[in-house]
Amino acid sequence: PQAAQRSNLRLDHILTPGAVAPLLNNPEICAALFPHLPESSERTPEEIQAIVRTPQFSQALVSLSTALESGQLGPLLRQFGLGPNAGNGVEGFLSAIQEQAKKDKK
Amino acid sequence: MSDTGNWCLIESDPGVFTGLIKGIGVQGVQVEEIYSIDKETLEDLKPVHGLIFLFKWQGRDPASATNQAPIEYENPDVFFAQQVITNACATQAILSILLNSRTIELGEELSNFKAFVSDFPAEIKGHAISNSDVIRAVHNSFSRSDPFINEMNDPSSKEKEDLFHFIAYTPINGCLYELDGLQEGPRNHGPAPGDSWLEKVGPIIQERMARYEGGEIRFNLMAVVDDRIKVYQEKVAAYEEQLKALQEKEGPEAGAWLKGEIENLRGDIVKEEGKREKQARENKLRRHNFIPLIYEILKGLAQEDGRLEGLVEEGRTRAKAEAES
Repeated sequence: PQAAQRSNLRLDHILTPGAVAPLLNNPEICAALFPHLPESSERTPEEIQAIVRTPQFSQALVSLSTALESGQLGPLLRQFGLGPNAGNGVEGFLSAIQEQAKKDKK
Repeated sequence: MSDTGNWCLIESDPGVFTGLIKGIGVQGVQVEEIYSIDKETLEDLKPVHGLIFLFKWQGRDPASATNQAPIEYENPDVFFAQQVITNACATQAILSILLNSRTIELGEELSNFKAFVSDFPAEIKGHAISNSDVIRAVHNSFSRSDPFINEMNDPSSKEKEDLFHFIAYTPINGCLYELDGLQEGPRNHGPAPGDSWLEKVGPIIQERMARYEGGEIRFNLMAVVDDRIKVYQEKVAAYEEQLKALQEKEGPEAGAWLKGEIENLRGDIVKEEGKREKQARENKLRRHNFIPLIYEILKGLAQEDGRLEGLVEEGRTRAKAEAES
């Protein structure tokens, strides 16, 4: 694995409500998101959009970013089937997801 | 670290604190955030059982040691526990108020705990808090569920070194006490009979805040008060009785003022119910582990051709702008 690329990039810089909104027009993607909402939440695109706007979700983005930068998340990320680089900071996590998506497409 | 040492950082939020208190089985009280310690604000919230003050921890504050109220090492009437676990101070501050109150109904769990620890010295009381499965479980249920957050720093803060500390102010036997688990004992700020401690405590907290440089705004003040809905309902009942008596005497048109007050209180009850619903929802979100959701969203964006790449590019620009500002 290559050395972690240092940057100030955090997941909350990327997953803004505006970035997530267009995704919710895709029913397949929504269906993949529903199981990961809090139990008491409705299974609707509107609810996902509302959750993405909450401070609790932003906080989760910030703390996941911090944890990724600490480099201690490797084992936790393996459950998503991501490559060994996924634990290498926010950049490493994002590029691992991109690689995984490319592979899945083939 | 042993299992008993696993305490998580919790947010200083009235909804979290209220949930924590209810979780330990205490009925009839709630926590309200206070934005200024003026007389009107406090008057509105009466009866106040105690105040919880959150501030940035700056070490043991040697400069002010001379003007601090005396520590009472041995006072059987005061429940004081030393804080032995780093992240337990929020719970510790709440317990300092609950366990020193003569009027709050503690419920079975906490009453047993109080009886159990009553003869212990302060340090052992602290250990007893950290060893109590119920207290720890409730505390931890309000931490963010992300498995890696258990350090005491504020994760959203830019400077990672910031530590925060909670202390309690509460009246005991007609005196105002400061209960800070990092001190050696309770500090007695002197006589303050009845509600007058609320006037006494203002300047003490303001003096504490003044010790920080001008830019420091991360203070938080919360009050443990009686269940607001119950308070409003009791007032409505009292006014309705007055109104009835008045109308019997002066006819059905009398008592416009009372009618207005009752109307206002009913509005307050509706507002309070809305607030509770919101807090319950927020507490559920706090306990939720968002990592799988975040991963699925990112995956979805990566699968839609180039969407993620473009967003990462925008994100980098945003991060850079933030770092330079």
